Amino acid sequence: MKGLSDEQLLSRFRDGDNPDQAFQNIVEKYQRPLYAYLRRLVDEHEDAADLLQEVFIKAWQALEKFRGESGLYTWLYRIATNEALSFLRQKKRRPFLAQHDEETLSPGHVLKADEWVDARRLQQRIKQGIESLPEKQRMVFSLRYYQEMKYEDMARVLDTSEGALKASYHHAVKKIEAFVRQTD
Amino acid sequence: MKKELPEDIQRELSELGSSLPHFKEDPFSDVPEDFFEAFPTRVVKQIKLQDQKKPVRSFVIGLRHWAAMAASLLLLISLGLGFLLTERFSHSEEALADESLLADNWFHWLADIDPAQIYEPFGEGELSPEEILFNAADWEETDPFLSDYLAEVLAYYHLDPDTYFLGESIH
Repeated sequence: MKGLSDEQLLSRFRDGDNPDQAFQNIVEKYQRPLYAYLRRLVDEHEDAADLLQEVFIKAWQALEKFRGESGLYTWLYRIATNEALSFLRQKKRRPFLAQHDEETLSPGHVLKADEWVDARRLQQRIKQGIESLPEKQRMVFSLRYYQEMKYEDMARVLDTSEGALKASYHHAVKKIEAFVRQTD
Repeated sequence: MKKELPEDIQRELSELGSSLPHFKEDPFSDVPEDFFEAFPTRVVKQIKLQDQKKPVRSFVIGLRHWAAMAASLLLLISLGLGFLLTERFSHSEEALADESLLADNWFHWLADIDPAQIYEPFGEGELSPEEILFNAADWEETDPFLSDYLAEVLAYYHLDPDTYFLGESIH
């Protein structure tokens, strides 16, 4: 089943003998990237796992009506984005900032990844910087930097123009850098 | 575990003059073992479970729907009845108000004139003032409320009940 295109998976889901199995294959294909995306937005594994499940349940409910205009990949990211936004708005909290503020950086060694002995510290600072961003900008940064998504696809996921997304990403990068410097 | 960013993203960061690292941490480092192996089956099971619950939920939603309809109907009936009763009540009040106004006007007029002027045209031996005006004793039998009301009005205009009415009940 591995290596099937989205069209083949959708066709098996709609017309095949075993739609459950076809859907399971869709989940298998997209669970890791979607989990990574959600995890970077909500931080906790339990929250990311719950959201991931909700994303696929929503996808199942809407898949019959899905026309494939935007592509399964961007459509799933779009559902995940909406779920994450709802979650973040409901929670209205920034757990990472509250829980992981104990580490400090050595002066003069910020942002030079190759100079870092403990790269995880820098990654944690970046994570904190991402947490400090507005919700939409956080998503733009995560989709581009972590999910390596093309602007064209991001435009479909976030329903925003490519130009606006590029500007938003550039601002996000600068803000995160400033945050990391500030916390040094 | 580190993973290097794709070239286009690295290039973009360089163009921005950014010193953000060109690698990223593995987000799956603390994910429980077998999570991704078990997840697809778990999701489908959850979906099936929800599908099974749907008929019950639909029944409950249907029940709520009918309850809401019944409540709306009751509300409409209550509003209709309320409107009708209010209309009727207001009509009665209007009628009473009119009656009171007429009575008040009549007593105003009565207070301004001399009773003799009224009876004069009828001439002697014809109708007596008592016959022309009202017989308060009769009223008391038929309408004690009006009788009392007339007594109050007469008192208000400082009219002597004996001048205008017969009967002992008006004082």
